[in-house]
Amino acid sequence: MHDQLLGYLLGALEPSEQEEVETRLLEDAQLQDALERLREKLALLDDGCEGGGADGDGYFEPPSGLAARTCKYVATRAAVTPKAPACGLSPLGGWRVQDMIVGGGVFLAACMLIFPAIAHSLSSARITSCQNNLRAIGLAMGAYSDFHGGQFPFVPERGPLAVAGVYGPVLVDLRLIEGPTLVCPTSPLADQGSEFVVPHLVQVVEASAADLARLQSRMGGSYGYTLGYYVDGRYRGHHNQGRAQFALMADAPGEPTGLHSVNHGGAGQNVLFEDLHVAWLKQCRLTGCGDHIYVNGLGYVGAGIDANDAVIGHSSARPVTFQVAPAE
Amino acid sequence: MMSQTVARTRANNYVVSRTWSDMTDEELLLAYRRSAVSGQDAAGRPAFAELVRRYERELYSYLRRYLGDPALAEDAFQGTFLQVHLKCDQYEEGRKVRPWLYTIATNQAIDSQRRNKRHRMMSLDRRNHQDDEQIGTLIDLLISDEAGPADRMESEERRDWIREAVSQLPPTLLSAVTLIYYQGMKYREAAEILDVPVGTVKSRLHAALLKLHEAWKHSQPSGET
Repeated sequence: MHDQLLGYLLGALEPSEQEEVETRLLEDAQLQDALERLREKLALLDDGCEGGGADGDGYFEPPSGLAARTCKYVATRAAVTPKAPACGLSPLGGWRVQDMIVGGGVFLAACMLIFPAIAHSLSSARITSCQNNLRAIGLAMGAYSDFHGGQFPFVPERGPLAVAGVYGPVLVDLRLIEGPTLVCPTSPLADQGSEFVVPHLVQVVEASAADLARLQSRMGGSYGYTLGYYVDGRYRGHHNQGRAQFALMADAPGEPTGLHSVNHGGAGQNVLFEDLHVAWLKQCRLTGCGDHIYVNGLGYVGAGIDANDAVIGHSSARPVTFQVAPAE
Repeated sequence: MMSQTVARTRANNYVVSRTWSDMTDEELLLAYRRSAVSGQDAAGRPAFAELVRRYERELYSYLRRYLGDPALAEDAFQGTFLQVHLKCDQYEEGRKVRPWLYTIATNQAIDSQRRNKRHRMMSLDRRNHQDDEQIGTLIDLLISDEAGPADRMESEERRDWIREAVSQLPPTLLSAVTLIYYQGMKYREAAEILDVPVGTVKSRLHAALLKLHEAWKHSQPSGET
């Protein structure tokens, strides 16, 4: 039991062990005496650190700004440090000059063989870069739906926020994504040179009529977002069902009523599906169901005609059009 | 800024119910991992920053005590979170983040000690014949009627002495005494962090206290103990 006294004093025992010691202490005067002497001796370990605060919790106060410096340090190092843990030799560790010459020769030969593939890779890299942004937005969408009962950002039926691009301010205001991520590096928006800034929701709500159209046309960035849909005459937002064939977002159509994206010169478009996978589609129709991702089942840019009708709208696209009037 | 909330508006018809600061450590790390794995570190930075802020005081204090030096502790703290970034894909979902962080921090502290070669154990290793089987004598020593150190040393002097003495314990003993005594963990939690059985943690704690007790006795002028 003496062995347990130390853990008891330090609160290191499990609750049942703690109770057992307390029971024994009630019955054993010698044990009580030993406990008191041990408590006094443990004062040896008291280093007087009161954390600099009034709570006396024994913590050292960290230097001012440590957390901010750490985040900056990690961000800087993350850009240059490979994910795989470095171990063993340095990149050139253990290489002799002969090894480097032979290795260089092999490298050159390989370059000559794969040179045609490099040009192709550059094109693929640009598409991939755009896809990575879309994946990041997808992660933010997933996080949003996790905390909102499975709902994705809602495109209202009417009002200043009733455009597909509303997803941008929603995610950015919540700090689920950063504004520049909404710009596909190969899109016309990226070529405009000016810094892309996502407005806050309140700015959009309070914008003058003159500013509102400008904000609505840009706040969704280079990507389009699916509008809501009508069911039984009621307009609803999409609920996350993890569907692998439901297009949640994509490279935005070139115009509010465009039928294809110009982000990649018309060669195709990246599409983010509801299960958060991203695919490159040369056509605007989904394989299998044949659903056109930029228009609804009636062929118009507007709200979907049912829960499975994905309609990816340009930033300023509105869900309500005269073609799809809700049935009373 | 992290706890920013956006109020419900009639116009946009949505409400924010949770923010980064509302998330558990595990949710923050998983959110960051999802962004890091996809190569979009920027998207997860708010989650990462919240995690750093949340553990700033606790982990820094642990490292400060472990290393006995503020500058080394800061380096180890930053190194810990760099490792969190680099190894977040190795985090096992369902496991608690806190012991995982402590494990990384402990390894960083050990590496730091090796690099700086300032870890001296001369005074504490002077009498090295004690081993874990003799731990039982610790309790007898400590609960003897002999006057305690606090009775004979000036408060500041004793505190300086104990800080230095603790930081010079061998790494295995240092981590045990720091986690249990100073960080207030249970034997079970320390065992998980150090990846050893609970019994080993108890032995190490006892051994640490015994070494400190012996070192204190040797630090006193002859005849005063």
